[in-house]
Amino acid sequence: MTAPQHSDALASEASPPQGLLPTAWTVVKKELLTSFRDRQVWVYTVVLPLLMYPVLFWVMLQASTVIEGRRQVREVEVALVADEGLQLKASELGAELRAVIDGAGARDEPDSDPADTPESTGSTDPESPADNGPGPAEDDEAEPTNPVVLFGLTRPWGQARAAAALALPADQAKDDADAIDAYLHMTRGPEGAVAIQLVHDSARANSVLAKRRLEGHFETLSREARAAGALELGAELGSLSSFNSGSQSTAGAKDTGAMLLSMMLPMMLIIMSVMGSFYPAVDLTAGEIERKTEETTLLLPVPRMGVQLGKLLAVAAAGGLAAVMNLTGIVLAAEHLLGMMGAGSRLEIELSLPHLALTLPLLLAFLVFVSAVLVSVASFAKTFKQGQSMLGSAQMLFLLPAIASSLPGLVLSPALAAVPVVGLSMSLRTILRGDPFGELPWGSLAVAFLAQFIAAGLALWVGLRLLDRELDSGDERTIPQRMRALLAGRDGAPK
Amino acid sequence: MSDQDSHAIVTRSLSKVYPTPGKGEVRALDSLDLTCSYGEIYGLLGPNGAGKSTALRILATMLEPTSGQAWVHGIEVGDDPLEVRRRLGFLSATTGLYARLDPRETLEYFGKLHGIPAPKLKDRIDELIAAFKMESFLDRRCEQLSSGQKQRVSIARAVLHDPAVLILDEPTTGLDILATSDMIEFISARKDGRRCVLFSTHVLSEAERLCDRIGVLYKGKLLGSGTLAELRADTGKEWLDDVFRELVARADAGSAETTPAR
Amino acid sequence: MKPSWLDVAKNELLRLVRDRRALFLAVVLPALLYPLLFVGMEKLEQVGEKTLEARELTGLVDLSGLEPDLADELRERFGNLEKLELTEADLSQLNGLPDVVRSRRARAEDIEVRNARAEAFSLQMDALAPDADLALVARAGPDGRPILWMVFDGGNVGSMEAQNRVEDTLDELAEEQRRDALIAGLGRDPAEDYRVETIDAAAPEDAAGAALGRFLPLIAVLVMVSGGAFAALDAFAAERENGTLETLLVQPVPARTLAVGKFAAVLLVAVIAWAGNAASLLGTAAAGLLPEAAGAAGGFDAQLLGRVGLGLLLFMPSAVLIAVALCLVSSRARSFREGQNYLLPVTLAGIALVAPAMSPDVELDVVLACVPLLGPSLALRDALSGNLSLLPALIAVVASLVVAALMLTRLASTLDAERLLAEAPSKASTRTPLAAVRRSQLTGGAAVLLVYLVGMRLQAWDLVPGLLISMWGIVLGLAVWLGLLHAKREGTSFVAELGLSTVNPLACLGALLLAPGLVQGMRVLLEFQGRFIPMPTAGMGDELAGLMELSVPTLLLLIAVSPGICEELLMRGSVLSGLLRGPSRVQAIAMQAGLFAIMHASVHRLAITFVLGALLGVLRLGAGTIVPCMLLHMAYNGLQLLSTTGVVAARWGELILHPGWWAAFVVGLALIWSSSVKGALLPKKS
Repeated sequence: MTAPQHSDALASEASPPQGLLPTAWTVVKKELLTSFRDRQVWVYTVVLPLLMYPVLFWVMLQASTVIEGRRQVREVEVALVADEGLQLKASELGAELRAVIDGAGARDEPDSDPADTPESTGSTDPESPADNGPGPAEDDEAEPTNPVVLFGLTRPWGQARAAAALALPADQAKDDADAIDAYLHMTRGPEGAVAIQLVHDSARANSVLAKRRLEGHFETLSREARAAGALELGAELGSLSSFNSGSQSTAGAKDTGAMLLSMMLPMMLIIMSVMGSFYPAVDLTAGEIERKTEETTLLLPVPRMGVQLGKLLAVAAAGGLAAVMNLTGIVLAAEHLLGMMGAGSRLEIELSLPHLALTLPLLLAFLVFVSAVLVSVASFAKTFKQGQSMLGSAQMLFLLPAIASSLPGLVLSPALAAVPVVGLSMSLRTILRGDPFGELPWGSLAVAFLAQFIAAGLALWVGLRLLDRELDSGDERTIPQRMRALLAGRDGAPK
Repeated sequence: MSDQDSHAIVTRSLSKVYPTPGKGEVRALDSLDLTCSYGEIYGLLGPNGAGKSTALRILATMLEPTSGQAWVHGIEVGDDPLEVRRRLGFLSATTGLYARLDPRETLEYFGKLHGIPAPKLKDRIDELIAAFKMESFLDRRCEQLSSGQKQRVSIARAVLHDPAVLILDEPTTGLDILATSDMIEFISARKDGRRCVLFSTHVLSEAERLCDRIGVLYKGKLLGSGTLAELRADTGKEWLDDVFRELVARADAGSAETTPAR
Repeated sequence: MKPSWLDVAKNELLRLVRDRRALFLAVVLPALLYPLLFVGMEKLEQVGEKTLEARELTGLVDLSGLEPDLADELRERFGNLEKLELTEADLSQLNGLPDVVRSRRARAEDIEVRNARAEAFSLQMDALAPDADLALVARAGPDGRPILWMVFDGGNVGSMEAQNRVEDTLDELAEEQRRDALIAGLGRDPAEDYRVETIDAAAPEDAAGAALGRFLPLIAVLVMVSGGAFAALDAFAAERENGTLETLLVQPVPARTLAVGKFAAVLLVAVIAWAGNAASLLGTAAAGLLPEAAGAAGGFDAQLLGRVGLGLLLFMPSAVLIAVALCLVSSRARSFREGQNYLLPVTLAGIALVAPAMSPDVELDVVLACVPLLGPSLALRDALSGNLSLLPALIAVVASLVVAALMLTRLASTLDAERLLAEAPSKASTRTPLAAVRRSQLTGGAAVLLVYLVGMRLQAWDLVPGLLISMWGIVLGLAVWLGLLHAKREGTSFVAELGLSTVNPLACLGALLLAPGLVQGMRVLLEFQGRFIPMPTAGMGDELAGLMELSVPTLLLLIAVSPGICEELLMRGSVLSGLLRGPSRVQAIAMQAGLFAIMHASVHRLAITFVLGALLGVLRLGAGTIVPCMLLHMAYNGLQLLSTTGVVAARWGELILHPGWWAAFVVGLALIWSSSVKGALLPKKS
């Protein structure tokens, strides 16, 4: 308690904390103590973050294995259709594809069975559109103008099906036409060259899968054909070029880790700080009004500004703690996940203490800034619910600029550094990359530090003014009215 | 005609035990036998934690008894809770009002839930508005009402369907002087040949003034029950608070002999 | 006139609408803000890309030692690279480059070696070309052809970009050279026959619909959760907090009616929030701010409207599901604040369920259709792209609705005055599991978490000690701790709590006879399961690869003996001892089997480990001791291991899978049956 229960005689001797900061400190201690006597606060700040992320990541990992498993065994049906005169070539291609598919199956896709069995044998339908249509001008790099010619204007897929059905033996056409996921159409291009068209429907999941598999198989086929050709010439394919090329990175696992960290961590720090301060901010404003404890605090014989400052700092502290716990949960879960996926060896995450120390003032200023902003917003709410929905929208304002750190293109410049959240995000990223101190862009960083401190100070000032008003019980004014009153400086409580 | 059919409220060795993890169990109500007749105002008297609320909530079908039976208006509470709730009005300190509805809307809503047909409901609400003098604040939302006004709305809500049995759990707690006297006036006005009021209180003067019969509940047990005169005769004390103390002292002496620990 | 849920719903809505400020902030504002957020993100991304493109990258090139033709060719091509200034310099001092280019696959080398080499190059680059993003230098290769080495900083975005572009240039040139050589020698390029022209036959509206359908479910879930939560918390948690819930429950209305009415109000609010959001999203798209969706919004024809309508209809079960989930969660909360805490997990769970629908080649099949939320999401996507298949869509709708209906029934039971009015924290009714049951549940849960988070990390660090510590440290430690706790609190003996009071040799023999049959039975089960959730081939087995190098005795110790002892002592021992004190024996068996299954942390092993856990639990009940369970567990794991190909000679594996073992299985069952102990289930008080 700020003021113990004094008898009258004691009141004159008693010396409640007089200064702003001692008062604030007393209030911070009390707020944190009461907060952590509340089971809900424990759940929110400690238990939930530590449990939620591992469970979530596990579920997502398992879900992805289930989905990947089902994808691998999914059968796709591919029809191979040939124009007149190309049937023989088509059946050769079919056999080659079959071999590649079986080979691939034996290697790593045991269950994939993109059957291409329906080979055209006697397609001589005069209306087969490819026969009538003019070929495209360029075979090699032409835009796919063919679908128009091939399949008509309105419903290409339906027409493609129809065309394929005509090219198939009658009994197969009936059964399979509906199940076909992609078509390989062998046709004559300009100058009589044989062209293969892979017709798929990007709006259908199975068709996308069929296309991906076929493209892979064709790549294998061309690689093997070239290798065989090179062998005919008595050389290896690779040696046909006049040089080789290779890469050597100067970045060790540590640098890669630092880069990943510098892109992800600032964003997470910001989001987590906002999320962490959310609940305490509502609790200490609207919650206090709801619990009717506000009056008790304001009656104390101490500077009110100190009480409010203490509350604000308590919000920042609780928010910071929640942010740390959330981060811990995510890092634990993510590291585990990366380890399970075998990516652990490629990056190594290590933070240097001086760099971390450099981020600390920025982060603390940001925490004050966030809690002051959130408290300011929440101070307009009369009930917990109102406060919660107000902050729900307000926190979005932070989340968008937080993403800045994860965008590869942005570089910290003095101008960018002055933008409140973006500057912080970029500064954190620059620092966390772990470059030696001599190479850091100190000018921009200084701007960012300055901007962050000014922003925190401003927010603090506004937050304190908003909190420090007369008891809210009878305040029936609308938000705009209260904003105006605040700006005019009329809302301050009697000191 | 059996006992439970002819009486408004009957309980037979009603008990309620709350298991508390790690601490064994708490016996909130211990073999309560209670009978209230129509045309009677019965006051259940006892300190906080005596089991008054538990008893009344079992009668209101909010809680299930651990053992024993209870009848309201001839209906066993466990058999047909809906029917019991149809016959009974219940009001406690925790039965709140919807903040963003005005009194008329509140009454309309609960009237609908009671299945009162619309024209009849309107008449009934008008009648209650007049009876409880709610005209002046009809168009204000409940959150803006004073505690006395809220209490009047709550009472109107509880008697909206004109229940034969009215159960009030500490109805005067938190009310100011005027509202309390309104409440007392209301309870005494409910007294006629066909209705029963059962209410709990820890204010002895209320009980003294209102009740036809009084039951003293302490640590889940009914220590004594009867008219004020009977209780006086039993204990040999003149004032009700002395009567109460005497009964409690007897009970404590009794329990000290049997179970010294608790 | 019977009171109807409609009255309840109407009242809920009326009260919600009255709280205009909160309504605006919770429902209207997010609906407007989400599109803004999307647009803003897109713009920021564009800015990022632009700055990356606009960035002047520099590099040093040393082409000395190359054939003049090649050097000239490269100079010309490098000159064409925009925003990448490559200057020629003398880089002959750069040393330590390998003699050969090794394929990506062969590069799996020791991390220490790799880090040291990177460090060495980092130092050289700092000295030679501190400001360059890239250095390109030619060195003689083993076959006389030069190798062009690109030295770059893999921890720097600009440097990576420069390397990418130079590598592309080099690859392109090499490819051309190879093709030219083939054409020169053979007269043609053999790959010519396999050049494929890919044609997307999707109608523009289908493609746009598919693109829209991929992210629509996710947004829908986010918006519905945030909008619906507001209503749900108001209808349950806040009402409980304000005491109006008691007023409501004392009315002559069944709890089901109240639950349905409140749920309907929540559903309506969620759907309205979603509709508002969809409208503002489409508006944003129509204004050309969202290029992805612009196609879909561009053509407002009857067909598209029909599809959207159908999609939304199919997605409705998700809305229902979300609304029920929110109601359930809120009804558990004792106050508005508490309910607030549960929202984040609910949101994340919703995202996790919907996320797979974002990838274009996930097909709506009958299995995925059964997954709540995911099924309707895929159906929505397919409906928008005009490729809906009827049966899975129907299954999706029905499955999600069935789950929702089950949850709605639970919702009605949460509106139980007894539970709501209880003074002590929620679990104080007569249905409460006893303290021992709770202890067991918590310890089991802790075991799952510790094995998953700590144990697996230890195993990643070093397989053998990791496995041993997980078993003999974590699992056994928890078993002993819980056993001691039970013994202390319940006044029983520690040995009995662990299930070790007797041995029952007959049951032990029987258990051993069961093992081969069980191995075969599980194979059948696994095969059957594979039809629904097949095991993916790639990506798995990295951990197992380490195991396969170990000797058979070590393997048996790690995989058969340790789990047989430690897991049995925990799950069938102290955890089951505690759970058996609960009201239902079946529930106790199922719960320990469930914990046992989750502890194995793999969705593909969930079913078999559950069955195994349940069988072992029954075995303990029958035999009155866990010794037979230990033996069966060890024998089962051991045989399972030995019958895996490559561990021992194939004929041993065949022997294990011989059908004759089923006779032994029957004999084993009979032995266990004859020796079964009746009655003495729980450790007696000492």
